[in-house]
Amino acid sequence: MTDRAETGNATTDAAAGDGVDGGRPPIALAAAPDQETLTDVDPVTQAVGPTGVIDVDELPKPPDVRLMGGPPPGAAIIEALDVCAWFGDHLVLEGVDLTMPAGEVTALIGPSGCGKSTFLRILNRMHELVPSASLAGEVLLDGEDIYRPGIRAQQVRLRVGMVFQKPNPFPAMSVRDNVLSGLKLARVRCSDKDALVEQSLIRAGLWREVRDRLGSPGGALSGGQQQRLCIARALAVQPNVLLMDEPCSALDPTSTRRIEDTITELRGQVTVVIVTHNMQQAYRVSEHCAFFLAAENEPGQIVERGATQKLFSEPDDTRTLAYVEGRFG
Amino acid sequence: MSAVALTWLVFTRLTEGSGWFGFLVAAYFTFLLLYGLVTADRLGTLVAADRVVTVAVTTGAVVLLTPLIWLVGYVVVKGVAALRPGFFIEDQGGVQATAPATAGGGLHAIIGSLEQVALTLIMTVPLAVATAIFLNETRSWFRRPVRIFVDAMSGLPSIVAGLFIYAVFILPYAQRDIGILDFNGFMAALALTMIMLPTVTRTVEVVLRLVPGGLREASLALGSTRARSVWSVVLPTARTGVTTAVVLGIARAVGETAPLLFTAFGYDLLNTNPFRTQQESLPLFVYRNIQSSSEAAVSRGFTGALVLLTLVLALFGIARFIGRDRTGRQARRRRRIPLPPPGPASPASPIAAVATPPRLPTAVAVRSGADPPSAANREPNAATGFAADPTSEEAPGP
Amino acid sequence: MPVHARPGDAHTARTPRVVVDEPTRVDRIFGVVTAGSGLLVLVLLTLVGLFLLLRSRDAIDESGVSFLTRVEWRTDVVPPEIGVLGLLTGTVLVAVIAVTLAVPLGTCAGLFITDYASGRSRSFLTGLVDLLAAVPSLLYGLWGLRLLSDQIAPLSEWLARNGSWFPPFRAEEGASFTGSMLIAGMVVSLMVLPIIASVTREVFSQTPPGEKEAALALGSTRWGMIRMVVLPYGRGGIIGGSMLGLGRALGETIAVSLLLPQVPELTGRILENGGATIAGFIALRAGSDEFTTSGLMAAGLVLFGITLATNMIASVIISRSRSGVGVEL
Repeated sequence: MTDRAETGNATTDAAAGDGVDGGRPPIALAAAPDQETLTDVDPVTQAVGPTGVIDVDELPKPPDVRLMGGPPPGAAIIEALDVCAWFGDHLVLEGVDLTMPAGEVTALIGPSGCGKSTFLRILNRMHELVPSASLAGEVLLDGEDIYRPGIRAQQVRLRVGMVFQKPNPFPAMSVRDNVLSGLKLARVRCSDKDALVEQSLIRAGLWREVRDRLGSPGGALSGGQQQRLCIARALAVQPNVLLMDEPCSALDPTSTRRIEDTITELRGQVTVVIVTHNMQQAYRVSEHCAFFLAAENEPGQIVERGATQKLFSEPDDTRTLAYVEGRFG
Repeated sequence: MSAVALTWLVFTRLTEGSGWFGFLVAAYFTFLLLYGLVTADRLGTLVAADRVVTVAVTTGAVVLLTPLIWLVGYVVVKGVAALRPGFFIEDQGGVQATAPATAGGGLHAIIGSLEQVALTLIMTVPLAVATAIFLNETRSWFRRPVRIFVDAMSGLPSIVAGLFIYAVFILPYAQRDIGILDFNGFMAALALTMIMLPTVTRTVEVVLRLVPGGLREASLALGSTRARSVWSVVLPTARTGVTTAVVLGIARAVGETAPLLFTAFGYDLLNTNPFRTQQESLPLFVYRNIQSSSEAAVSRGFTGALVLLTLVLALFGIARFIGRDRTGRQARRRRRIPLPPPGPASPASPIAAVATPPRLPTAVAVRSGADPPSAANREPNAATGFAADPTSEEAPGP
Repeated sequence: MPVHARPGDAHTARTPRVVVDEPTRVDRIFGVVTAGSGLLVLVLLTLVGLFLLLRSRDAIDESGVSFLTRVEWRTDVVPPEIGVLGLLTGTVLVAVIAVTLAVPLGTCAGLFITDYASGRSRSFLTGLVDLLAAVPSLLYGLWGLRLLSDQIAPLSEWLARNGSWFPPFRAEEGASFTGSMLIAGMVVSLMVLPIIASVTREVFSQTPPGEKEAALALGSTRWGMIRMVVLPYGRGGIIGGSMLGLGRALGETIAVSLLLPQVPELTGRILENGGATIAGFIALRAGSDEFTTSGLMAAGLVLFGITLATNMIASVIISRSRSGVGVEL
């Protein structure tokens, strides 16, 4: 009987598919209201199947942990309104309008160099870190412009997490500390750190592999494991939105599949925006898609957006059709 | 072989009286020449050139080794003669210059050195780390001039640093005897700081630069401020490198003599207060005794030199030890999980190497601060050997 | 509320917005502290130049311009005649000898480490180079004085006898061959060697492997490849490293103070006993009367100027060269 079940309070499950909560406070860091406790059954016993072997996919999630000073719970809707981006004088993105519904997975597809990653970085205010970068337009997180003066980038990044293309766990920290690093760096307190570590690692699909060596350094894992660790780290602060910049591009197929499972499981809890070159992956994981394209010497733009199913089977634009059929890329 | 014999013949005649060193040099060049000719005859000029150059280049490497061994051997042999436990306990109070080498000791010098170096450390390290962070982690326009000045300062001859401290703090007040503003250990520490600062700054900056940028990005993306990123992520990742840089800086500071001449000035008695009156230190002790005309004093000097050398070598060894690569060991601790035969092994992704703690640059040429990170150290540590992910259990496939 | 533009609008119609991210208090303190320490370095260096100048006023007032042109240093006459030229020649000569010896050897060592040595010996040799640099110059001077001198003196004698067609090798009858600039130069070269070796090693290791492989694939020998690819690429680094070494050799104090008689004279005869360098001279005259000290300050200022200039030129050369971009000094 794990005691953790009783300490967990808050729920991060917004009603599935319903991300818009009119009463959600703006980008201040309000603590989550208390909720009832969840299961009081030993999750391990429940998971043991007929052969006595624990099947990791059957492990129910342990009860959620409460964070203090962290983002408000649930997924958030994030909208880009007429976003443009410059590097110096060079316009790289123009007129990007996109709504990424709460709790759903939106994939950004398109050939390389179209500005998808740049757009992603605009969503969590990482774009401005580049010295010559500038932008125009608005990005609304639950209706509020994240670039409004008076809002600090740091607060935004707490609510909008990011996973990078190249896994970058902190090598000087153990696996456990890596997962908790988000809290430490953003000064978020937590009621039960061990439970949070376990929860995050389970969500990222890494728990079973590292449960015995939470103390080993973050750099001592394989590539796929490192990337999952980064996902766990990003999830630990319980962000409203998770941005993923080609997270599987450098990984082997097994890790890729694991990560895709993770993304699918995150539906409803976190809004996911994923940039990917892999069209099959976009088809597998996402509900919405946006196709970016940049003509030669032109800034990147969205050619078509919509439900994934439609985009892949009956796209409106011929260019989309050509890309989706693999005729260029 | 024949080359050596031929050389022997020819050159004992020609180089009459040039000493064995000259003979060595001559023999070497003859060998080279003959080797080249013979190879050219057998295998062609291209190969000959290649072989000759290989020998020449190897010599360069050997030259690194020889003087060091020679020097260490020499100091050890000469210094051991007068070495005895008393050396570490007594000072030179009341000992005549002509007294036997075993009279008195070097305690005052050792304590002096330790104290001065400690003071130097306290002043240098925070400053150097802060400057290195400034140069590497901030975006100020100010960085360029500062970097130029740091580079310039590393060219400061050590004697000039001593002169400077003397000029500013000691000379103007020489007659007035104001407590701290006189020849003492603290002044020496100030001079040593001026010398150590640019070196340590540059080394630490190099170490900081080795920390992959992805880590900083990840930290910022998690919602941290820049300061926190540096403190919680960059510095811990660079910890071993910074420590090594500091230890190597100490090794250099311990051996510096010139700046001490004008500041601590030297003394015969034990003086444990570095803020008052002159103080002795190891290099000064050695320096003055060596120049003495009395054989006994010279012998004493050698003993001091031996102690100094041992200290420097020990510090150096510690620095290397701290900076050794530790990531290789982690690989062996993984559990063996009985599994169905794995699918195609996941590639030993170079990504695995990206996230290992940066191998410190063993700060080379500490004296000049010329400290490039050794590329050999930067090679991805193949010893982590993650050839197959043993926990992969599904055959990959669509 | 920004206007939603349609695709096709003129790109120049957009203006980037100003993004303001006020730094937190912590960040501000961080900025101030680090900038402050950077500033300190600037201040220190300027102070050095200033104070030396001030203190040397006495001597300069007395000697005027002739300070730079006079060779001897005589404080026994009234008015005292001091000049830095003799010291300067000695300094330059010793440094030149040191660099002439150290550059080929150091380059060969660097080359050996990068292109000839195998893995383990590579790190061993790198450590060895570091060790050479760590040994205090005092000990080098000691060893040189007592051991090396006696070995080189016969060689010098032979050179003087048989090589007198080369002006620097000439010597007077019955001259002593210890305490010569040649020997001093040899000892100083040992101190310069590690600098050159490490800079060249770093530079050579930056050679793009693609170019090296291309040369080898064309069928050249190792030396051929080095000659065609590595050396040209590393040229800037070699020169820069040599200049760094030169700067070091110019400033070397203790070893030369032991090895040379430190009597200023204008002589090119390096095999004979004689010569003085600025640094060594100052070292030996520590604790003299006020006027002499003032003269020493002036000499020190001259030395400072030369070493500064050398180092800065070296930095510029290295950073401008193709190979130097990644090299840290």
